[in-house]
Amino acid sequence: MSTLLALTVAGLVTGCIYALTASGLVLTYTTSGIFNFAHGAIGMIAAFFYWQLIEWGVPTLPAFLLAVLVLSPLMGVVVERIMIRRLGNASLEVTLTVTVGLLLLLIAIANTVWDPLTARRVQPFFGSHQVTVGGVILSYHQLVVIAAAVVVPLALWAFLRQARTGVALRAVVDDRELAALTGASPSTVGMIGWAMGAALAGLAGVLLVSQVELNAITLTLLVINGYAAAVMGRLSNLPLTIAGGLLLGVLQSLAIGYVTISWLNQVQTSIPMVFLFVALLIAPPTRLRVGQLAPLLAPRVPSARRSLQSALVFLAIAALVTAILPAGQVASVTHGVAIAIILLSLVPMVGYGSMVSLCQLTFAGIGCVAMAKTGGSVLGLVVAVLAPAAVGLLIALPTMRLRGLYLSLATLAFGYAMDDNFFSNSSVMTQTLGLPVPRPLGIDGPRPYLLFVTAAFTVCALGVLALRRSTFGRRLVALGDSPAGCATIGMGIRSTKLGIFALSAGLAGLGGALMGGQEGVVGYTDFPLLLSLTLLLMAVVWGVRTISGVLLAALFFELIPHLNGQLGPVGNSVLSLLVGLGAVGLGKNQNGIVGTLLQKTSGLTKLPSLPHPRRAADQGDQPVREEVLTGAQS
Amino acid sequence: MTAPTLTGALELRRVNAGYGKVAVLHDVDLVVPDGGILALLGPNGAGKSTLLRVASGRTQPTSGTVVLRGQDVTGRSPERLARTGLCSVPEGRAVFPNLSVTDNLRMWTYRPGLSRKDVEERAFARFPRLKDRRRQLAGRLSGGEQQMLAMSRALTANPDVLLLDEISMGLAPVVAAELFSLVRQIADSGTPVLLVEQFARTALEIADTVAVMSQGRIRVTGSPDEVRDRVLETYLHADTAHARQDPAPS
Repeated sequence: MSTLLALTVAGLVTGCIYALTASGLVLTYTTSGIFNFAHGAIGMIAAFFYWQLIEWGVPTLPAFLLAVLVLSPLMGVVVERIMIRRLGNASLEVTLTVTVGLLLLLIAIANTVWDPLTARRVQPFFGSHQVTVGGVILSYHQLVVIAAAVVVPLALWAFLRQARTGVALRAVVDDRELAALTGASPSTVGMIGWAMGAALAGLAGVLLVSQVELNAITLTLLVINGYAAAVMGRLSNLPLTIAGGLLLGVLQSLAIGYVTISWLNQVQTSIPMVFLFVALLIAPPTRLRVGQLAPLLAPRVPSARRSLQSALVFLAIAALVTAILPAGQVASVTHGVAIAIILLSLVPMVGYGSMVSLCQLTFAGIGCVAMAKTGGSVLGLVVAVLAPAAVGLLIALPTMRLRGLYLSLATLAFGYAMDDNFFSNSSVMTQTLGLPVPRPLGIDGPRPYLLFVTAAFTVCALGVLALRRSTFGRRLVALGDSPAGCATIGMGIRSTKLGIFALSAGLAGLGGALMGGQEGVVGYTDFPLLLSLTLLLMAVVWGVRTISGVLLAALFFELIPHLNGQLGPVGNSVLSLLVGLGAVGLGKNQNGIVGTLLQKTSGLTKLPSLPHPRRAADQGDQPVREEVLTGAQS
Repeated sequence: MTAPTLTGALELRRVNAGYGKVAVLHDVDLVVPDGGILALLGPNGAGKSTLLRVASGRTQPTSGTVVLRGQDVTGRSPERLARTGLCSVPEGRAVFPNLSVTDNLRMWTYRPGLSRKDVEERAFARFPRLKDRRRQLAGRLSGGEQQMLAMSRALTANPDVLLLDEISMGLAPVVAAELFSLVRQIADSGTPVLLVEQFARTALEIADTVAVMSQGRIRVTGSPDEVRDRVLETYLHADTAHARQDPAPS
């Protein structure tokens, strides 16, 4: 009994931290409409900064205040000014990409400034002082956490309801333009929202830092757990979000205490992601929004004849390059082309269907493992496609009614859980030796294998283009453009959605298998979720709607380690971020770098640029949400 | 307060504006007189809403100037214009649907010199029904009540100029008539009003001056009586003018 109580209390304390970070996430999401993937990373930076200040001999309180009330809001303001403001009405994949880029950049900065190999520890507040309440030992630190989790949301609530700026924060969410017409400045208000959200992330980070090992990725992912709580509050309701955070903390704590199933070795750490998945499933369905006509220029789809010609030219060039490539480069290029196949799987899903999958590398990993287990025969290749496709179907079924951001978060939860429970499972691959992967069809020699992978890429690319020209492709684009429009013309979205998930996952699986064949041995760290995010970033930046875009993205990705040698460890993410910012900034062309080039040579379908009308049209029938943020009234 | 040379509360001088490559307004000159109601009429797509967007700072003109009370305010942000004294009630329901009535009224206090109490007192005195519903979300009010709430901003702000865009849209005729008489009252109390309407009849009844627009140009300006007979003609003429521009064998 006392164990249960102790575990519950410990869980509540963790839950308080989740609740705090999730409130910050909700605040930025509601005020800017952008889901901040880098929320956790901001908390992480604040935590490191706090450690640094303590290390320099700054007393606890000033260090705490500097980290939470100065540095964190400053980060929020800078991010809002530099990145978020430019996004305007950008599509989901662009906004996700930009914040994912920020996440990777912040992790890279932390790893550069604070050597990740050094162990760091921070003393909890008030050292080891503790009190016993009702038989449960509570440290002063835990009391501080609980106090913060009580005071901060109350203060936030009061601010949002009573202060005019707080009212304006909610008003800007409701109708940005009208807010401006009343005299409130939406940009200032947005900045305040981001500053407050970042401060909450920082607060969570600093409260966490003495409880866990100070590691950039661990801390970032811990704060990401707050996503689950935020989704429970449907990204808009603060009281529900806080309840979600507490519940999550308790569940996780109880799981650590009571679940001792050996084959689910990591189940405790994936509780938040399971929670996120369930929260997504039980959340009431999102209403179909009447599609708004975004003035997006889609790249023109090449005809069958044209794409076949390009494919032949490409193959000829590839053969030539394969012949003259220095021996030392073959492996790297082969790896790059295999990555290109994985990125190709994003084209129909993200590029055509506007469904942003965050776990494409997970599917690739499943394909790779499937082939490794069945051998490199034709059968092995078939299994490498079918196994992830089946898993894709399994993901698509429960998430059928999720759209947009929620769908992306579901794929994130899946990828995260697979990281912890599948790839690191000893029955899948031994952690020390990894998993040997055969080369498919017994193709030997590096150059023939490169040719084989290139041919596979070409065939798949032709297939994707043919798919785009088919009825299924048109359905896919229609689904991405306006689900409501699809419904009104009686087009079922079910088969389209199931189809695209299976197809995209299968394609990624093939890419993963070919990549594994190149590596020879894969380890459990070869398919991490963060790399999925990096790949998505690359694809979107270079142009996820075009074949050439993803090919360039893959080759650039392959080039990074080489550039890395010259730029130092931070080069990696700085490069990707620069490319990301550049692409977003470049006239806000949502088709990425390749799209921008295409536009210059007018390879895009022309659409007149439209005024961006105030959402007046859909306000008439827009359902009234529950009171944003405060959750009061009905 | 106002310089003697002024003729209008708000003036648009040779304004050109559009969206991307599509030009909507062509050399528009419009003077909103310092008092009374100027009704801006015109068929769909004439550019009326764009003109209001330019006047309120939501769309920047490609050329030309916007002058508010003798001051060149071209390029000013909508929030600065609003604080200066330009009150613009956009098309549709100009309220925050997910904010309660009191929270909506709170937003009206961004006009300098208005306290929360001032706004509530004035709004509730004019629209007692809003007081009964002050805790409700604005989105749950009826269309007429929402428009009352929107108009309460115009009432409390005591603006230099009031811009109204199709306020009667989607309202029952009785409610619309009530709204128009309210606009008349506001104008009579000394606030210049620019009223944009698609339906000419009511507007002609309450306006002091009328301007008719089509295809991005002001076609006719005058008193309602002068313009009355020419409104339909202008609406139609626009189409024939357009037809005449088409290359035709002569």
